[in-house]
Amino acid sequence: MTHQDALKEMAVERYLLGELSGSSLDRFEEHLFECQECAADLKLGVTFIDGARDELRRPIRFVAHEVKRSPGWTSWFTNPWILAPVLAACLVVLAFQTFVVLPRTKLEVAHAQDPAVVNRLVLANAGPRGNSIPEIIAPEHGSFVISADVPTPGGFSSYRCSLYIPDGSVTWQTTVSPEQARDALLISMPTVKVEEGLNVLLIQGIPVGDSSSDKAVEVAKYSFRVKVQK
Amino acid sequence: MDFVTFDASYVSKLREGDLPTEQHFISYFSELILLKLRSRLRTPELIEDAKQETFSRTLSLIRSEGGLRNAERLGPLVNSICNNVLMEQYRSSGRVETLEDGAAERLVEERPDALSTLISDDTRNLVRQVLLNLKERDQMLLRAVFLEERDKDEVCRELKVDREYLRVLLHRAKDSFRERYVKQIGAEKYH
Repeated sequence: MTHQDALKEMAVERYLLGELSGSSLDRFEEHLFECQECAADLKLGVTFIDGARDELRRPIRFVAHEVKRSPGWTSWFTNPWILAPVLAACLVVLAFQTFVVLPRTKLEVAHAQDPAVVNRLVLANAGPRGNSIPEIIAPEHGSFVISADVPTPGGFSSYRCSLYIPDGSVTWQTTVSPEQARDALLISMPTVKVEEGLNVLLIQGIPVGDSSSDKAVEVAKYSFRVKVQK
Repeated sequence: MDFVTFDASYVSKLREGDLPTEQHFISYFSELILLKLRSRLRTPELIEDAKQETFSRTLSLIRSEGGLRNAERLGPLVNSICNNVLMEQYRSSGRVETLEDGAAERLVEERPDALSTLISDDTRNLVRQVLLNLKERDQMLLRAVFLEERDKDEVCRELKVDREYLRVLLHRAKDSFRERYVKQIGAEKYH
């Protein structure tokens, strides 16, 4: 056996594993005693196996090989280049809410809870005196009250009230029952819902058994002028 | 890797009784004989006897008239004589011829065990490192084969590998161990 044969046949490993016998064992041992490289390799193998026997007697300690994973979406939270600006933005928002929004809201709530005299707009007699256009002076950051008379000719299941601002768009809408319409409707209207100029409150009756808006019938139309008090 | 050349000069020194050469000869072949005999003889005493007998006969032959003609065949000669001694051991099973006291003392390897110095704490640490870098399945494979000494075919079947895998695993573990060993302990101790 030559050294190349021994390498090719993995003779040292076979010898260590006890896989050689008969003539192959004789051939390798003869080679082993004349090849110092194989002898050194074998000695090293035996040393490793003897050492491994001692080590393997202890409980197995398995070390998982490090697997490099591609960073998941959660890595965004730990990236300082993203985390720092996000935290800074959060801080700004927090400061804005603490020092601007919250005090303003508290003030508004306080104002709302305080008793106050509000202006009142009476809308009645649609039709006979329709040409008379009432005017209301509304506080810029407050509200006013609309007292609207709803004619109830009967045959309607409910009434729909729509508020049109001067440009013709609807800014508010609600539905009231015939019972609510029996007396004058009192509507607390925030000034922000109206605009300076001619606004219109349209009241339509919804026929019984037909809830579609196409069949709604106009029962009253009140125009009123708004003047915002700065 | 520096290897000693077993040439005519080496054999000539052995013939002349040169002490350093003789010590090298004993040391080098002691390890090989031990590796060869440890799976074949039952006790360390029998191995030691066979080893001494092998050295005694080899040196006698080298120093005899005619001696060893081809110096490069020194290794195979030691192996051949060891085989003969082993066969005689098997045949006699217990009958051990004593050597002359002086000769016996001279041929004993002075280290406690030819391999024990190799398996030091440092070496154990290196082995541990190699094992810790193996996959769990490979650790189980080595444990089953070398520690529990289970049937290799059965173990390979259980772990769904073939015998070639086992050889390659051992080869790689050995190479990894050699790399660490040479790096840490030094190439000179490697021999």
